[in-house]
Amino acid sequence: MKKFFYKSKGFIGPIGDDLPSLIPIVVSLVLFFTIFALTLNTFNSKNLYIEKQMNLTSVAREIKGDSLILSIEDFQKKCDAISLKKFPYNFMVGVYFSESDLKKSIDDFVLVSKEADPTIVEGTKFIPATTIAGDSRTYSCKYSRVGAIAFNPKKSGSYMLRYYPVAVQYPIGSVDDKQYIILPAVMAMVVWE
Amino acid sequence: MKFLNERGQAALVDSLFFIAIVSAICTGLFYYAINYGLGSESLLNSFYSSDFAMDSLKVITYVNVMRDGSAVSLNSPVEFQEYDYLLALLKEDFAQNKLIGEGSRKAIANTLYSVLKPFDDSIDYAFFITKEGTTVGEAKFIALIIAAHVPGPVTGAGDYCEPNTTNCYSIKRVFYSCDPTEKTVLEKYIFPNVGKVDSAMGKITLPEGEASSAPYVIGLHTWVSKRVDAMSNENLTGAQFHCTVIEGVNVQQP
Repeated sequence: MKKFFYKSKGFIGPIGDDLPSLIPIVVSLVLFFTIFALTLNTFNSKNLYIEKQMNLTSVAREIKGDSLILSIEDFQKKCDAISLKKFPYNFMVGVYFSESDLKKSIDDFVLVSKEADPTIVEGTKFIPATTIAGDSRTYSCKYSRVGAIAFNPKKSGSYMLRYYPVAVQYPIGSVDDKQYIILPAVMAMVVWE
Repeated sequence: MKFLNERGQAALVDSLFFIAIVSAICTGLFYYAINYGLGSESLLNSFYSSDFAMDSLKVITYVNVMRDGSAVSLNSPVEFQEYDYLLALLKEDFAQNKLIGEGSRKAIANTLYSVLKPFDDSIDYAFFITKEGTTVGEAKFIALIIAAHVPGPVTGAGDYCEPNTTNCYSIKRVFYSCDPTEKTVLEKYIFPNVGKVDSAMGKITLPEGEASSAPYVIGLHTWVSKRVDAMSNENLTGAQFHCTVIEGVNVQQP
């Protein structure tokens, strides 16, 4: 071996001699695995995004139905039916009169997310069950998976918020002389992981 | 010695070929990653925007409106006033002379505004009722209400100034009641200039005589608000559209 080294000038060993060819190989492998990881990551995150959006669309369609909410009981019934389906994401729904300022809807959802009963949360601008008397419920509902963290727009990562126009049949008048009017409203829905 | 040099050169060329192949694969992967899901995403977004247009149209047909044409709200003193469905109001008006009068058009504008108020600063829309014909050119508008953001005079507060110019103007929401002679005015003059338009349509019946009624088409087109010349006041009130401004719609300027 020693003899061979001295005879072959410039030969610095099996790896050392191939060093110029090893560098492009290593660079290309690093490049390949970097791009592969990036692609896999993008693929997964886009799939999650699409899945989340599909869930949101499907839940929203089920809750708003024909875009007419007949009563708070009708609304709660639809929400309860959705909750039984075990969706892979958490969601909250709230209905506003169309005159409301929707810029604060995220704040309302933060409040609802902290409460056990989403229909009785003070301080939100959701439509109250009635303005006649006594009922403190609001047109809002929540579905959280087991072990889900409370909704926090700053910490929950990506969340999705969508608005859908709906009509709400609303009781007015007095307890003795109850009438109904159909008012324009907006259903806000947020989905988070 | 010569043999060893040749072997090193061959290995170097091989590795360069290798990096070329890997680069091509990486480019393909990168291209795939960038474009993956774009089609599905735009499809889902279009589901949302078409849902939005259809929901808006449904709500317009569901909600109550005051008999005087103003929009109904919780603040309306409904105990002392009569209210009705918008469609009932329109049918009643149409039954008289087969026209949708100014009062009904104002009721439509008020209803449109009350339903789409939360989105008022970002979208423009056109609501229409048409009679479909069996031959080309027979179809015509019974009513066309266009809600557009148009430039107005400088007010001194909240005006918009074009970048790098001294060209400033206020932006105001205006409702137009139009009577175009051509059925395709929207497709010809507005849609090509405003980008993506979401449409929802449905059928209604309007009374055409004693105990008879005929099907009509009711629809709503929505698009993201954009300043285009086709939507300027002069063009909408001009020959193609024959629009007049509906005054008194309860609009709060942005």
